[in-house]
Amino acid sequence: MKKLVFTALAVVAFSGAAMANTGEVKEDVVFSNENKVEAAVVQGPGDNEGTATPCQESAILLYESIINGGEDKPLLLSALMGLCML
Amino acid sequence: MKKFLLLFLFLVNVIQAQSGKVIYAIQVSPSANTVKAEQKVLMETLLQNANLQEFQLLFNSTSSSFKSIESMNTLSAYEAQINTIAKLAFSSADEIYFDKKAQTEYIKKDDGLIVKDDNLSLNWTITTNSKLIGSYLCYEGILKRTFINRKGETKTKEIIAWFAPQLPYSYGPKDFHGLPGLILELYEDKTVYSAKNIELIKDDQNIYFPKGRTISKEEYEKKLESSEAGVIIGKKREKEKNSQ
Repeated sequence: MKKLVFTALAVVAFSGAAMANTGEVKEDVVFSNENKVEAAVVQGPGDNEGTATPCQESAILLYESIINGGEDKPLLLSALMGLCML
Repeated sequence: MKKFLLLFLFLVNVIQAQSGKVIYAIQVSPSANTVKAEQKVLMETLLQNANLQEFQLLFNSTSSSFKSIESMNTLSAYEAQINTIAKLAFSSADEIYFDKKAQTEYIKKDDGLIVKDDNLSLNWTITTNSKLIGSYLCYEGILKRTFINRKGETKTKEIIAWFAPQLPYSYGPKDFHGLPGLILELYEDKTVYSAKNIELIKDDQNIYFPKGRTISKEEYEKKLESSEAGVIIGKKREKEKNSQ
């Protein structure tokens, strides 16, 4: 009987610990992604509250000049921002 | 009589030719006044790069491929990135394969991903305008393409192609095809593609389609929307809509 109670407690404790860990990891991933996206969004021209580097701000401005009200090209913006990493 | 014989020989040559290769040069003429002073240098570098680009169209009776002709020089990481940006901005960074029988396009992206598009509908309007390009009499074809702008409005852009019925191959630069003749000149946005060399080959040359991970155009567009740049653009769209 004692053994059974001990086993049951151990199972509950381990599964609880495992669940807690999974939740924490998931939360971390979602949070860091959102932060990244938000940081990038406020980097647009005229959004001075952002944390954009001057290079990234310049990339977004040049992108706007190139498309000039035409069709958006996400790959072009991505490549222009990629210049800041070189 | 001599002229007739020459024309006959020329036509026989064209009719016999199954395949061909066209080299297109490009010319970009941007509206420079929209560029802020601090970005003029980078913009000029991009334009210089774009205006040096050349593209190759290969075709046979059933398919075609279109891609840029890469320089033999070794490029630094910065130069390679500038090259890619110039293509994305003014021409094409993709390799485009067209299966005429299946009316399907396979677009090989810079990262190796292949995007399949079988929803091709190019409704060209052929006008009576004509002009000579080299020795070929060309006619004008106009294609209207719609897109959604930042404000969420549907806009139309016009693509103008000059094609030669004397060259009865319904191919052209990028994903523009379907006219009753080879496209020798094409105007899209600020870019002009001009055929500078045409080689007709009697044998049916093979065109090898790319192999690898393939997704549909719809899937690819969703993937782009969820990328970092796609999210930035999405937020800008929302902002512009709300400010209306």
